[in-house]
Amino acid sequence: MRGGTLHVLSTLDLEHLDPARAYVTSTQDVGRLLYRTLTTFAAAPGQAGGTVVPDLATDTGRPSDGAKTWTFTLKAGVKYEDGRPVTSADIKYGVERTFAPELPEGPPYGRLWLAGGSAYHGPYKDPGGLASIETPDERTVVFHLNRPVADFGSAVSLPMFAPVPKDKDTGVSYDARPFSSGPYRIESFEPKKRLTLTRNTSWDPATDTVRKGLPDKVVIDLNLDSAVVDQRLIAGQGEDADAVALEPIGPASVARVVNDPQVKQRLVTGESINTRFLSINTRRVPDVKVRQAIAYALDKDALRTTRGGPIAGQLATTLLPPTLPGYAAEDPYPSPDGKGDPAKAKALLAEAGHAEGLTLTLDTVASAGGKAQGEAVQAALARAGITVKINEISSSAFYSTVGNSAQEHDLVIDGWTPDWPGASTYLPILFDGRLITAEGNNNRAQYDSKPVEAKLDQLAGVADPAAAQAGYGELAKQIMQDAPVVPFLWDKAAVLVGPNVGGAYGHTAFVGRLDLVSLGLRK
Amino acid sequence: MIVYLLRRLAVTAVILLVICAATFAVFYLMPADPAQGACGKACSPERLAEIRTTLGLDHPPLVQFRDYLLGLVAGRTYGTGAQAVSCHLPCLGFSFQTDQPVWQLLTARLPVSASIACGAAVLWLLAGVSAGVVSALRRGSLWDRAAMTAALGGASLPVYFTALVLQYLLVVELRVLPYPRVVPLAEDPAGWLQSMVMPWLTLAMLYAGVYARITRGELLESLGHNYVRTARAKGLPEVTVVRRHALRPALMPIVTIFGMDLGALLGGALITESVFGLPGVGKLAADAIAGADQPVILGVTLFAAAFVVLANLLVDLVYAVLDPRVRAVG
Amino acid sequence: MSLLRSLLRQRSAALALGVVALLVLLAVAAPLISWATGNSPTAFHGEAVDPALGGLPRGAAGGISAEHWLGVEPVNGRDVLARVVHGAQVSLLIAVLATALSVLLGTALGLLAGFFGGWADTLIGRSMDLLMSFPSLIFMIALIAAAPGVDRRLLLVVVLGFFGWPYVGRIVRGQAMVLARGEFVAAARVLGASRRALLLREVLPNLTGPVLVVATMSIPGCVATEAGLSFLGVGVRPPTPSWGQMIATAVPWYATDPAYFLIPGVFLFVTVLAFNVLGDAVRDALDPRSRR
Repeated sequence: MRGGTLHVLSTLDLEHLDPARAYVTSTQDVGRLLYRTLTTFAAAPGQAGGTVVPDLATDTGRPSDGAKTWTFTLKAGVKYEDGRPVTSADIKYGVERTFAPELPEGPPYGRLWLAGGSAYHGPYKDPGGLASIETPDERTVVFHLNRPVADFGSAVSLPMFAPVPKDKDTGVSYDARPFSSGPYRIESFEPKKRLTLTRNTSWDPATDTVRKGLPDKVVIDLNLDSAVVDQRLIAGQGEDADAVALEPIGPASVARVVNDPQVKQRLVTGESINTRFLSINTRRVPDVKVRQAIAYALDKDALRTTRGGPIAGQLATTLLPPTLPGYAAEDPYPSPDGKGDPAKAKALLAEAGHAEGLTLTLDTVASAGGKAQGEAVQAALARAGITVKINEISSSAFYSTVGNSAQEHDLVIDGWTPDWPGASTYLPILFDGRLITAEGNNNRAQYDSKPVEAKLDQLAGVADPAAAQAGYGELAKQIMQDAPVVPFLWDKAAVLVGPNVGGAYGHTAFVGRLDLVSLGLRK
Repeated sequence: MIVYLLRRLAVTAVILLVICAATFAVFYLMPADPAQGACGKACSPERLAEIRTTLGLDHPPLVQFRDYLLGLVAGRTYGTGAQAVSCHLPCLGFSFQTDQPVWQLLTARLPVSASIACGAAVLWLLAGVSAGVVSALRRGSLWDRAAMTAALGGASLPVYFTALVLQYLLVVELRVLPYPRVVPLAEDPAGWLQSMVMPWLTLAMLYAGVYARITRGELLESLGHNYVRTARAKGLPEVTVVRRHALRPALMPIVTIFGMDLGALLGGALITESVFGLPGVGKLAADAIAGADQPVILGVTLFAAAFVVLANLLVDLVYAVLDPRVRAVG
Repeated sequence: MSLLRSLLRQRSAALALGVVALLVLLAVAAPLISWATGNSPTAFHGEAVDPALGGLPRGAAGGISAEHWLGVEPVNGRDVLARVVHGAQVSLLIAVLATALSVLLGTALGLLAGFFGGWADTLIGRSMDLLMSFPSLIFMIALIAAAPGVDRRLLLVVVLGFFGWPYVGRIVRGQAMVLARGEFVAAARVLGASRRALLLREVLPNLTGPVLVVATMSIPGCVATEAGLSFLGVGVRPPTPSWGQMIATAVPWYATDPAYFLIPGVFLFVTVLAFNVLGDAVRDALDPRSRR
């Protein structure tokens, strides 16, 4: 039904609303209500949601010059909240903003792929603009890349390819009030508290095949207590009947939901392409036998229980999840029920000359969940004679600390979601030794293998997507032999929905959480 | 009186300054790096250096402290050019994790903390002081013993334990209250009252116990004084004796403690707000601590200290008005 | 010994003393209890919890069974009894050491202030006022959170001790002032005793009573504050158990597994209560005037 106010309850803060900086799934989920991108993910449950479909553009992009040049034509009649049309210049300006050092934390693809990107510093410092983005007319935008990128049509689904009119750019402050091209505009925003969206009357559903735009208003309450969100949705009374959670339910609420058929019916489970793993810093733990011992010793089941048990996902046995193209089933370090094989681990440690055991330090987030996972790793490895010290890092400093290759310790509880279904934004980013940086490092295993790098380079040039996917699957097996990381969970998200909310399904691009653009109220 | 007032104000200012310096020293000289906390996930060395400059962390500590104090009285601007963020007076610092001035964060949270503190204070004063008075007057009676046992129990209750027991009993078992949630007073007074019952009870149980014990002790002490005996000997009615001669001096120390307690609670009931998930100053502090948002922690500490110190000042001034001798001595 | 005898004469005090003794015994015997039940405080028992229910303990009342007398923790299945007794060890040790530190600091500085007066008194007196008007909980948390890598137990002792000394110092200072002007000190001075000898031989012994009272009163405060700090996430590091930490992890579980917060919570409450009763009784025994 059209109309009404949808409430969204979140335990987190929306990190960045500015499309140039939005690089967190929940923000991208919310962002889809506010701005449109050249392409976007289909609004569908399951693997169908991983399909990229045209959004602002009329198609998913036309490659030429061996996929080094990509041309997009904008749909006619797409308007901003003030009624002005979306133009190709706004797309160009929006992408140029992502180069500005003042607006960090967005995806790196502009800097990585656009020709001349490495020398460009954003429209504030270089008002001349970036020559490799051309706008021959108001509705055509052409990107010139420095190398072939077969899935550039998927890349432009990221918020960094949303249009920003130059005269509406307020620099850093744009984060609090982006200019809307989607079905909703910002009515008010109190960071860490509440975001209120109201209908953008200029948005024309005829131009939009993805967004339904059913409720008149969407109110997103931020930074709530996780237990409080669960309790409110379990009760589902009053305003909460029209509410949904943004994050999955907590472990403590699982019993109450599962044991109550009325509530269980309102639990929506979505698949994701996220893999959680334990990164082992190969520079500090250079012996592959020790790493394999850790892979055998880890109790994946205990780790999953800290996240809520089986509803939190499937125990992972390899790098690529089954939801990702290129997945090849394998389990190189098997153990009964994924509970770990301490005997095997001990034997490997003895072979490596650590029969008397060894001590490692694990970096975790200083939160209840981080602590629980840290203790699970600690208890599991203790069975094999490995003493684990837990180093708790505050959530705000966690990524910058473990991303600092000198400050990172031996083990990190980690994970990765590719930016679109496919391994091309996963394995090359995480396992290329040449990409290890002093700070902001993603290769937290600090894994550095010449054969793997050669294979990565070869795969980057493969034009046939199916062949590339199969190649990444093989490469994943190869990497697993070196055990730089120990995958333990392929995430699913179990999210509670209020009794009066319809159209709810988990979306694979948003780690299995609800696709906000399809939600509506029943009455 | 004016001289006394000025002197007390000066002392208060000095105390605040010292607290400010001590807090500042702890935060800015400890190893945890506030710039890294504000730098986010993709933290490049350039970005880190930029944040350091913006926050003024590249200056020597004394200069940083001076800038902080100046900001407090005159407001300040962080960074330059298009990047500049202004932090208006009184600038308690700027939280780069939330992109908001600390003062704004604090004042937005104060109403919640104030509702919790004031409501609980009314409850515990009513219950604690009256129980203490009755106990003192009927010393040794069954009531006295029962009340004092209860008071000792109350005073021994850790607030997070009380909070959980109350939640379990009232919400899960008896279902007389909804799950705790935030309801603004202006929007839904009845809902607000419901949301406040548990925090009030939690704090009131602890403090009522403490206050009952103090009241009883003080009142017994003043009942033993000569002037009370004299008043009794004069044949004044017992009610008058107690009210006019015994209770008033006995309440003086309670006013002092009450001032401090209320001041401290206005600065955030850290644990109570955390357990019930109420977004007051205490929850702000707890979140800032979890996220290592130093400017906010610093700001909350000063804010809370200011409340305690000002409450102290207020209590002293009330004394001075009530009792001219204080002015002469103080 | 006369103190002990007069304490034992009061029923409530004797009971409190018994409870405290039992707690100390449990804390000391924690490794022995673990050995006897075969449950270490850190070992996971995945089979004792049900992953399909988010890790809820199997069985009633938080999984109380023959193997786990007080049940298990949800999610990881660690033995609650083992964690409670090991937690008692941590809590009591920190509380006693912190109290010892504040008594030491408070006595030394209080004596200095009360006995010598003058600028020493002004300085120390003002410092005490200042420390007592500090929002100490927030400050303690910040201090601990800002010092990574330091042993948390040591840090807790130092921080709790430091913020506790003014309460001892205030009383010692008052008593020392009275004593310093008292007749027997004057007499000793006339006899030619040195200041140090006076302090050590005449004043200090007379302070034992009041200091003992504040110390007994300070222990429950320290136990509660330590648990509170652990509750707020700045207590001892995992997997070291502590009551506050257990209650903090139990918060989201209060509806599904109430035993999880009730058990450590009751232990904490009983400990604090016993020490408070004991403190009252010690005060009454040493200062008959205050017996009410």
